[in-house]
Amino acid sequence: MGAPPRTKRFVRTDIPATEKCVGGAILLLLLGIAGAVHYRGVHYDPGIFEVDISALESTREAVTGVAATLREAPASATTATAAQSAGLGRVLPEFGLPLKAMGPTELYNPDTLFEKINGRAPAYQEFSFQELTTRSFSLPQQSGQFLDVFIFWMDKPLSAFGIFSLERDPTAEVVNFASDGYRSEMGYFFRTGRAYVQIIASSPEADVMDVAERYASYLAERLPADDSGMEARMRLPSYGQVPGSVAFVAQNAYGQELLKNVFQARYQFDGEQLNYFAMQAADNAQAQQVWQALLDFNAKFGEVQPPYESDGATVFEAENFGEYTVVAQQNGLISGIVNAANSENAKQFMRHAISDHFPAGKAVVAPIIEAVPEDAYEEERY
Amino acid sequence: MSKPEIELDPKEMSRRDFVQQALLTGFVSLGSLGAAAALWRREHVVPGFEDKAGIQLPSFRPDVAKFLPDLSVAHSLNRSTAIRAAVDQLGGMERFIKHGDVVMIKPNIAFDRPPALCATTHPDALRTTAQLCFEAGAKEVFVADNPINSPASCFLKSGLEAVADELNLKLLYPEQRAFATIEMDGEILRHWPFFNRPFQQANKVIGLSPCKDHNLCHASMTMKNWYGLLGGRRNQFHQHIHSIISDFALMIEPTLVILDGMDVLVSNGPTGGRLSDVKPVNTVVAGTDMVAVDSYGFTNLLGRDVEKLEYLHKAHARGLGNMNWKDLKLKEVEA
Repeated sequence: MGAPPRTKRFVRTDIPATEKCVGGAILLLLLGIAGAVHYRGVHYDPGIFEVDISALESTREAVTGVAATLREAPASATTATAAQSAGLGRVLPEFGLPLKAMGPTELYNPDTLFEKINGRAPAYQEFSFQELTTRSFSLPQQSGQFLDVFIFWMDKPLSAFGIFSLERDPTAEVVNFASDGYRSEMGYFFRTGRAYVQIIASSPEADVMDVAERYASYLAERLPADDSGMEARMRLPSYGQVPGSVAFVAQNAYGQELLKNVFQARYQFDGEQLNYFAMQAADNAQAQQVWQALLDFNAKFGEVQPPYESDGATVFEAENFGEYTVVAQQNGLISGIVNAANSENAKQFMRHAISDHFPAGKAVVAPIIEAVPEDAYEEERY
Repeated sequence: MSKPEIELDPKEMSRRDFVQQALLTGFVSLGSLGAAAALWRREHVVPGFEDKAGIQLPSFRPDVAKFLPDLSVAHSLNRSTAIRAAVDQLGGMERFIKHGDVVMIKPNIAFDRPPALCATTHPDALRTTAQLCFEAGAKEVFVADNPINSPASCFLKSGLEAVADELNLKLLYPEQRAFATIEMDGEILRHWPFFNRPFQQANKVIGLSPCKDHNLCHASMTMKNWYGLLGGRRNQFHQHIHSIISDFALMIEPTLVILDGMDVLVSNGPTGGRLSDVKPVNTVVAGTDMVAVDSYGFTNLLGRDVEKLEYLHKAHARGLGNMNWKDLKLKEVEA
């Protein structure tokens, strides 16, 4: 009878051929990537941003003392630009206005945006920037005056609204030719669909601003309207809303991790300014979870009244450090007033909001603005 | 008693196989480490520039003036008046510019924005500064910057080209041949393409900056202004923005810096776009220590907490300037 082995044996098993092939392929791939990185590094062109002086001279002559843009960044022939994907052409025209293009339409993608707005580019990239279409126009009838047109294409309407609201001038005059827009002293700014448009004038003079306004409204008519994904925004009451106060917060609204993609606005109500928010959850269960988390948070740091039903919505009221919060949820929508000075105002406002703006008995799917049919701008594409 | 026999499994690894595989693994690992070491560059080097001898800038700083202030602040409703008053408080432009000097003025014209939006050096600031140089006896004054996008458009729309035409200032554009490699022992900046042509001609350098909010580094003032002298894909430095800005205080010792805080871009910087982003502060700050000038500007023009401006702390800690502007000889005037 043989003695048992002294140690546990290491037994090498066969490695299947497939595994060997996959392993080899991964190693080859890694080598390939390393080689490609090395090649690109060695063959980097340090003169990539060199100015084409001859182009500079010719554009200088062309614009007779007015600015010129030099760098055209055309997309490859096989790649549609964001503008083209939206059903539009790739050239920003004069729209028959008294304008003269100062150079070609320029295109920038996320990798090249810094060439145009270095330093500011990261703010746009945080909102999933896709492409910038931009062109400058001189006003031949007003010597030395010009308009700069920028269309920042984001990945979705919500992102475009996010960067629009981040940069918005809250005191500016609201315009009526776009779903979100305002007139600044030296330009027009609006969001329509996933496009955030800036028309910046060289001066606040009336003649210049008049052309800027006409250009902005022509452009707004031709850009596809799309408010998909912004359902919660449609639930913000309009009465008493402070103009220009609507904002979008992608993460951590009011410091609450669960409050994401929140729309908020300020309201003038019975002598007090109230902060109201609305968030559309994925489903009822998530809405209930968020609502409960807000209740727990308020209970931890303040005093919460027993929840109650109002017009089918579940509501809680809380007091924290002398300020009042009322939050309701129903059918996937969570909304509320936060940090109100007067509890009666908060409760009364919420009663109106629930009765007029909550989605009774159905899920919220209500983009109010319909998309412009493509043939609406067939005649005059840009 | 004999040792029990070990039964060999035909699939078991032999000692020879083990040694061979261990050696092979070791060689591959060492080879990888060696390749990584060969490819790794501690410095920021643009391939293609590494074989060029790096340049270092001479100091353009004026001699120490024992009884004159290091920092001046002028308040006025008129930009030209404020700049003249601020320079006068430092001893006049004659302290900095001598007869026959060739002066380079470095404005900030990073964007093709109209002057009213205050994203760029204001044309009136350039006009006054250039006039002061000529009045002090400068033989020639030229203006240089390297905006990434379109220098022609930036010079034109900012209004600086018109001033250059008016005063016969030479505009230097960033052509490829205008660059050389700068070599320095910065925290992040060591070996990089640099807009050198202006420095081959000028013996005095004046930084002329707007005061702006900045999305990445909180504020763009006189130190950040020198970013416009770098070439290459300089946006990669954004990951180390405070380090690179503090390196500029090592890279260059200008003759004078002027911070134009007449209208300050307080939000949506550095590009702005709306007049509502601009706040009139009616103040100009001038000095020879750009760390001190920026420290004053951040505190008093932008109204922010200087403790939070990391690049000032870095430059101060490295002895490249004094962010405690209250410790300096300061003259403040209403003009």
